[in-house]
Amino acid sequence: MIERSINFVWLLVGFATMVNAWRIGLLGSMGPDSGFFPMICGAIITLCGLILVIKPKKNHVENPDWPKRSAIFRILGVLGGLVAMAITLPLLGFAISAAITTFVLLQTVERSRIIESVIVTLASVIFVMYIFDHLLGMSLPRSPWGW
Amino acid sequence: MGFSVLFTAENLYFCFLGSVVGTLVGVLPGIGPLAALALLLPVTFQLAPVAGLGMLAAIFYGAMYGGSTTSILVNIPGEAASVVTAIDGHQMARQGRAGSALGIAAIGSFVAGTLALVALTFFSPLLSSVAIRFGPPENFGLMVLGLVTTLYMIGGSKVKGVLMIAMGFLIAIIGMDIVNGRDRFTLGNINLSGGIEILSVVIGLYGVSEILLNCETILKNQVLTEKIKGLWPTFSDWKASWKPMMRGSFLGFFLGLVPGGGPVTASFVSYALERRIAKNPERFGKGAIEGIAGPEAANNAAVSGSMIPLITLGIPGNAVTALLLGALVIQGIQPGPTFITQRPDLFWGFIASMYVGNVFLLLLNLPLVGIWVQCLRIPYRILFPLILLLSIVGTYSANKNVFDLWIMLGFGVAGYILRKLQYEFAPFLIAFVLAPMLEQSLRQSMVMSPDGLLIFMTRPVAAVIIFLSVVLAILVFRQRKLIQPRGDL
Amino acid sequence: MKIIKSTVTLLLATLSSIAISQTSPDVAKLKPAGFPTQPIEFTVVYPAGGGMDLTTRLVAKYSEKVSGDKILVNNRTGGAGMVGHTYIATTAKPDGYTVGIIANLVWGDAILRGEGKWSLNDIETIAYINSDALTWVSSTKGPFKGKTAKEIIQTAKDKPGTVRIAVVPGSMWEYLVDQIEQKTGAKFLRVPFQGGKPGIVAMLGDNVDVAQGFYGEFRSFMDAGDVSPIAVASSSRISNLNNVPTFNEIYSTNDIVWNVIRFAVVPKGTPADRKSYLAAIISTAVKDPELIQDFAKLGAYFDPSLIKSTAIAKDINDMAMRERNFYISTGRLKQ
Repeated sequence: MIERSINFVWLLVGFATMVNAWRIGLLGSMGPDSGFFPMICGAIITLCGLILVIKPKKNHVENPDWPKRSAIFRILGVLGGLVAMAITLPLLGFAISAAITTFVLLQTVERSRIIESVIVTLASVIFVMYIFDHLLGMSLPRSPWGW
Repeated sequence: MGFSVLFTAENLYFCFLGSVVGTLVGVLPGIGPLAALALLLPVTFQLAPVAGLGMLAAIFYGAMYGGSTTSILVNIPGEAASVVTAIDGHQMARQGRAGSALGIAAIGSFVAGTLALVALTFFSPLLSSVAIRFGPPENFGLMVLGLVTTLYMIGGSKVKGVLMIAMGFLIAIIGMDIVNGRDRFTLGNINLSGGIEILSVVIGLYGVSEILLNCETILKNQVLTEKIKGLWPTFSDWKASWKPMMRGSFLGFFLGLVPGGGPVTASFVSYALERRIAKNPERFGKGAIEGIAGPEAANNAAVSGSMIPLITLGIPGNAVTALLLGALVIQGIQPGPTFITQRPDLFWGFIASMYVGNVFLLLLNLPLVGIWVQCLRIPYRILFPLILLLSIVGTYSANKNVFDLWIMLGFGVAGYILRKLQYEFAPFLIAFVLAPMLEQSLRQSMVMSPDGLLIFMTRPVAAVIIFLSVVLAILVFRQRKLIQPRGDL
Repeated sequence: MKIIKSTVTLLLATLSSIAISQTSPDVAKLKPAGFPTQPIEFTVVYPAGGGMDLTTRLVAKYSEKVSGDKILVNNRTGGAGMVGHTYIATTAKPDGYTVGIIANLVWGDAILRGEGKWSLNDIETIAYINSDALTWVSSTKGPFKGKTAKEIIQTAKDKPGTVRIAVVPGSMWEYLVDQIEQKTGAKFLRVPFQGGKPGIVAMLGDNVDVAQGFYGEFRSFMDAGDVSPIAVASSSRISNLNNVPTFNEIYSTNDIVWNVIRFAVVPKGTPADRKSYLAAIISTAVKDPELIQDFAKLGAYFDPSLIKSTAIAKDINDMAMRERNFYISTGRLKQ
């Protein structure tokens, strides 16, 4: 089911690309213009998408290994952690953001003991910050309190 | 003469330091040599030229040594030029042959690096005069050739492979059109105006998706499932590897020379080549050692290759050499046609430092193989947050823009889904790398040419290259029919 | 490995402590109370290793020297500078901890591509740094060798579309050609490249006839005798190239001026005392004789009118307005 939707996604992407490319313009005064290559790409994508949709048997994946309920939960946990990181990084600075994310990840995905998670979190964050911020001077985003 | 310049304590120390940092940087996922060079650039201001330059160069090729480590051990590339190594390298690690894989990677890197340096020493002037003649039509030809070789990389469904190539092209196009300065496909978001950062794509597609895959099951205690079968490559490994190493060195050197090429392209093309000419191509993807020997040699050779236009013409072929150029300029040195004659001490000292650096790296990496293999025993649940954190920092470090993290995430999710559906990323990635130059060269050629497409016929070198590409492209289809009689389209 | 890293840190710390002892008293006078308590960021909108980046790092180094404060250089890249410019104009906090080291290329971004999200009023210029003049070069081999700029432009007029010139679309490379074509009726064939250097290299391979670039980019080729500069788009002759005429001389005018002007800005709203302090730091740093030497290595020069300016923000703004008028007159900007 997912496979079929992805095949349709290709069709959609390809078609949208071709439309956009057409609007940008294919040929300019000096040869191919901005839309030329996108049009080709769009055409290929649409064509491939079409083949995948029409001839599903040939390219079908037998029993793709989709995750079960518990696995989905874990995966969402990791993704949630990453999203949290991306959102909080500019607001809270690296140290806090990374600490929260790492801790949440460890708890969600592994369900290790809390103590162990705290230790690993602190160790990882401190390690990374030390290397980048202090040794290499890379200036990771700072927390509202300046560190 | 160069060696006498080199052998001062300061120069050697910084060369060594660079090698260490390079290896480290290569190993860390996300951080590539470019980030490390950018960070350490100010340090070189205070140093003497050979020391500073030697250190920066050592970081560059050191990263090629270290990059294979995480690729092989945890299937997460240390940086873009080591993506290909992960394909067969990780499979070898799972079969207990991690030591062999790491060893061949290190030795292949050393052999290639040294050979390429020899070529650099003797052929720079000749090669630079050839490089100068490569104008837009010739570049276009080369890019087409590179793209054709990606067809050889498609192992499974051809339709999906071609789709991936087209997508790679499309994603690369997002951003400002360099020919007329207009934004394309950026949906009004200025962050996309500069194009999508390759690091975000690589880390997302390979790194994040890998972590997601691993998180499905209760995290296995260790990555390794079979017993470790010795730390050194076996005799049969050597026998299989030496020719790919030679080919990889040769190929990588020339691909480094070409503008827009470099270690990433070299590693991919080498993989495609090895697969094409192997007697049993089905072994690729399951732990074929040629799949490591060739690409690892190629990416190291490409480093030396890319030095040639830099030193002899002052032209940087990629972002890393652009940075090296900056480091030189700020020392008051103008690399170019007069560099060798005006500052022979610097030129030869620099080359000598690269020879020595390669030796340092070999000595550094071989013993480390044992240690890395032991790292496989660390419980994954402790390893993975660190890997994730480093990936995030590494991706962020490219542009200091949080947007890149979102891109990484997006590609991570997409990568996860596509992996389940058996799409291959290698064709995508190489199309992504080659597309900008390909399009630019074509359009430049069209502008330059008074007779349109005929320019590709009137310029002999371009014509030859394009003809070769067409021939190879046709051969791909023939080969497919022979090998997969099931009609796997 | 940690030991080595510590050595590097130690090295850096030692070097910076040496620097502290050379703080300038004039600068110290202006230091506001309680500022700075953390490192000041010099934002560069271009990648590391490029001309802008190198300039910034040099300025940062000498600024540290005269002020004793810690300064970090941060590359915020993307969109050919747009991402960084937008950051400085909109996101960066106007608290004195962010200084943008930018070039007049920001005018194009603000006026043509800002799309109402920000404008030049959102940043304030505090100090001038240096300039780099766009120069036309021709090859010392081939059909145009030995010709003057005027002769080549004449050829472009007599045989329109046959003289190939390297341009970087959407920037001063194109604007200069526009202006020359406007003035003389010549018509060049513009071959697009991503920068001055690729164009110069293409010329060496006989892929274009005239290239445009900066001194730093073509100097090694000039020294090797492969290219020769034929005209400079600056207000007066440059000391490095004092036997190369300016376009202004050739056409007896004074409006053919296209150069990169580098200056420091802060986001609008930065407190006045911090602004003056930062301005003093940079202007003093820029007068350091060693820095002047370093700039010369990069090929940059000091525009005489700007280096003596007492109201740099106004002068820069006037120049921005002039460029805006150029955009309007060439149809790039609708009124």
